[in-house]
Amino acid sequence: MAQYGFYFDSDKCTGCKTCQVACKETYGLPTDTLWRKVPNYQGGSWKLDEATGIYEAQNVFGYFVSMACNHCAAPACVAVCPVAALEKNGETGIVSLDERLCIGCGSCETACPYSAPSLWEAKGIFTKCDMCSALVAEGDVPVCVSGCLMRALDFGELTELQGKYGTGDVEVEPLPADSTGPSLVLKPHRNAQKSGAGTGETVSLLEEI
Amino acid sequence: MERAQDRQRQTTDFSRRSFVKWSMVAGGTLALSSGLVACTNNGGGTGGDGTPVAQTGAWKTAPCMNNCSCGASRCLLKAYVEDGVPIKIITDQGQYDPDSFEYLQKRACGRGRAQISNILSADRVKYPMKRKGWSPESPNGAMRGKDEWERISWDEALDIIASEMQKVLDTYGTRGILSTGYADIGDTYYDQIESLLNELGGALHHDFATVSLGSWPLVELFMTGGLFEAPDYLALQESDLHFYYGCNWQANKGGNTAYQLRHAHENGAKVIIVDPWLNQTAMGVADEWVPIRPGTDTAFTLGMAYHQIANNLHNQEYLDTYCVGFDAEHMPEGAPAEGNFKDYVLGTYDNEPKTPEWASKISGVSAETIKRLAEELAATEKIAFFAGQSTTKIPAGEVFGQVFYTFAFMNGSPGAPGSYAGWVGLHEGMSTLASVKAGDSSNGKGLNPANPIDPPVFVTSPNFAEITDWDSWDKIELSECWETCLAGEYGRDIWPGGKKPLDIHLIYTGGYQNALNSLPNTNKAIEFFRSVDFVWGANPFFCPSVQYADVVLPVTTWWEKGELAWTNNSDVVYWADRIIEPVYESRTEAQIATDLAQKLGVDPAKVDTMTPAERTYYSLKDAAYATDVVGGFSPLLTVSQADIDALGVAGEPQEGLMTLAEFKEKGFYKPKRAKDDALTNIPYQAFITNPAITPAATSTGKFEIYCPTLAAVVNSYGFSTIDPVGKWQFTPDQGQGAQTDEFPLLLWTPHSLRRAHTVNDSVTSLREAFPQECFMSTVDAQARGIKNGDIVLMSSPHGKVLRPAKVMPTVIPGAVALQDGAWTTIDEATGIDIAGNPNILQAPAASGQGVQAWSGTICQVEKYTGDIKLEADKRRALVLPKGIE
Repeated sequence: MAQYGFYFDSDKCTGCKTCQVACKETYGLPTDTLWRKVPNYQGGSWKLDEATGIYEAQNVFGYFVSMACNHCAAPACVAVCPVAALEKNGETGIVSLDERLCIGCGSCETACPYSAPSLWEAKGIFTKCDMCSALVAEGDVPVCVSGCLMRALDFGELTELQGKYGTGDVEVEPLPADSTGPSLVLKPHRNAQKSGAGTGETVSLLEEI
Repeated sequence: MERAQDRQRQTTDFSRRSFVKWSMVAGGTLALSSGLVACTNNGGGTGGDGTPVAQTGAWKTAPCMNNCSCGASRCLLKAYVEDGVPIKIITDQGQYDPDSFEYLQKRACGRGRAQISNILSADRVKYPMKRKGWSPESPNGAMRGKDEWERISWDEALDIIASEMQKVLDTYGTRGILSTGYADIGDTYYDQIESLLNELGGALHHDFATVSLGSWPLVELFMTGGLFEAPDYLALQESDLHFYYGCNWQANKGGNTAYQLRHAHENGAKVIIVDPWLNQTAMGVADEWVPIRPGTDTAFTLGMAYHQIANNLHNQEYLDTYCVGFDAEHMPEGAPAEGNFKDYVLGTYDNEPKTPEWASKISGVSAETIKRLAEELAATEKIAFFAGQSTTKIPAGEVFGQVFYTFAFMNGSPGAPGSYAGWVGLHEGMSTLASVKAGDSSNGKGLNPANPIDPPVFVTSPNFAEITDWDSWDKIELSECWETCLAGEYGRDIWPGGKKPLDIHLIYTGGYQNALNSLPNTNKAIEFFRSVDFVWGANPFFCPSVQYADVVLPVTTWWEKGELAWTNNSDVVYWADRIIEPVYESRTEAQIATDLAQKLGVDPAKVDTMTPAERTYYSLKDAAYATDVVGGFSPLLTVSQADIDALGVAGEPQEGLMTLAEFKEKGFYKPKRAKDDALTNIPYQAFITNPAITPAATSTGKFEIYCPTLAAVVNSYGFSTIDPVGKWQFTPDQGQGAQTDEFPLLLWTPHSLRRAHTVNDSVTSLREAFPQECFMSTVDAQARGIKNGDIVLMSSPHGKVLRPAKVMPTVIPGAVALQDGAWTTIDEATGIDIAGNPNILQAPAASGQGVQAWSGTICQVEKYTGDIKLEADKRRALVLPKGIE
């Protein structure tokens, strides 16, 4: 069995959100439904120099993390789905959701450490990234990858991605500690903070993510 | 219930279903196919369950003519069209050529990827409409922007427009008409209605100078002898250090520009970005961010210059060899010795040394940082100095241009591989040196009527020296446009013929402009629109400018025209297929202009000077590729006699690099580059290599740090005053030092990836990705009890807007930002703009060559406690014409 995965280089991401928008527009996703999103994590503070009246930046940083479903080795969503609508494909490792079975209970979104499943309100069900399975089956790559302006995203067999880019580190803010084995090689930003460090916060508005 | 409907109205899903309905109304031939439903919900032409669906449609090359940055990146869109319905979009992503740095794919950003949603937006104008409260006898102008609308026939609409135009022409002449459309800024923005106005005698336009270029053009021209000089992107890779002021390339230019800078960074170059915020490009490419107060780059740079001079760190040899005016020993003939730059910086005569400490108080950058950067720059051999265009959109903005170039000269730039100084971006962006170009589809035959009241122009602004008859011309200054239109005069007393009178009775809003929204002081724009006798608009979308009109005509988009080769950046030519038939009752500007011409007694052939087939043919036959960087071009396309016959035009066959069929099939041509190839551009290299043989194209043959011609020309406009050398200026009512207790913050207005200027503002997926926000620092937010996401009221002396705050540690304290282009939506009860158009707040300050001095408007931000409930942008209903189904 193969395990397909994503590679993401946070160090070069400019938050243009082409990945997110190309995904939404390709699949006709309605408002509020996001299969890929790009939170912006920032931190640091400012210290007033009383003598000069100038604020000095103290370790101020900011970076983006582009995140879709990570098609995990141990997908929490599959484990909790009460109607077996979620399935991990034995050939590709892609986790997909059968819209005909979903009852919209939201267990998957709650269980997913990355909140990847996304409510499609009009349909009353949850939906998610299936790694553009149809494209991948034809030998193509997901639309987020082929559209990335900064060439920060890549796709392939996880072992090949690891060979090409190293193992990376998925435990960077605002992502949680690894509990599900995400099929993601994440190259942390040069100012990345370790998961749980609490040195900053996601500044994206709730309506963005 | 209402909210649910509003939400549904804005989904792309709805747009597509709605489109089919529209097309059926319009053409009666399209039907919803089962393929549409299947393809709408997947990217690969397979059904939702993964089973393949037969692909019965075709891939077409769809123009992405978003004006992302006035001549910068344009990217490839391929639209899959089935039964006349566009289903999905892909970009340049490997279907033709693999991606390499020498042959970069032209990948489209989110704005391009969302073009189906944009073109098919629910706020397309569907029918000719008339405002209910308007009549010829009683215009009832106060109701503009509030009234209901009624659908009328094309005949009735054109009769009303022709009659109102004739009335104004008979009574006030053509200068009773203000056209807020572009006169003709390029093939893709061509509006034949402008030709009609020109043929009628020439309407007034508010294009005294350019919005885009800031104060740069005359500074560059007079100081260096060049214009729009920038290295190509491969030459850029030679630099050891990239020192950038502003330049949020990812939003400002889209395309590959940010990636090209990242590539330099990955190859070992250092990138330092000076900006009031850690902008998104900086997050992806910069080694260091230097936070700075808006509009204070001049003082900051003078502080670095002082430190270099005081410690003898500057490149005296470069200055002595290539420049005049740096010090008393190198002044141009006839100039006073004490007017030199060095003595200004040292404070020799004004007793104010421009020390890092002095610069720090103005710019907010610490003296230590200023000194460290000055030393680092002095110790680096190959530096690329770049400044965003908006860095000079400040009062007397030429001063920053002067200081920028002077400081670059002090550090041995420009003129050698890796050593550059420029402001127009990279070769992918605007540059004098296009490597490919399309033929002229707007005026290939050279028959378009010129505007008879256009003055002779020097670069961008009227050339007073060449005007013999003062009454022969008119061109309204942009920043003060609405105030002057209301006041009935514009200009300055010191102009050769004094101020010029205005008596405008009719406004035409079209030609791809949205002027009510796009010029400073939108509240005054609304006041002016409401004051005239008649306003008519021609626009594909129900944008704010046509919302305040009396009669609105539906116009086709580029997707409904097409059949042209076109370009808008310097390294690619695209083919544009026609993607869809005109939706609802929309018509082309050509049709509207020729119909109106007949009603107004003008020969239609003088208004629309080429047939559609001729426009296609001229765009193709004159498409060309550069063979070198000094102006050599060869035909790009092979055109056969059969091609000419098929188009039904007159012409001669020609040989090029590829056939028309190949070009149309692929949809574009971009040159394959190689290091040190013939397209490599090192600006000013000839001068630096051999100054005696190839002097700079200035009055002294050298770079002019002391430049009296620049000062004389700029000062002749009377908007602001500069010195022959670059000096910091304090402005009493704007910028650092002008803050008051009531307005203690400084506003600046960066571009957004949600829009290309004011285009795309109705697209839900982009609204979701980029809410229109008040960017503010954690320091200022805490002082006001504002938390991230709180609704805040932003106010300036000119107006108020309501927006969610985005509170970030990556914004310098004391400054707030609101991104450009949001479509004004006034809450009539309070007068507050709930959409957040920064032009509601912007200072309407004219400067220099007729430049918008936008940055540094004083303002205040407070937590909003009023009654307006502000929906998230992605859920906020689009403004649609009341009364129209």
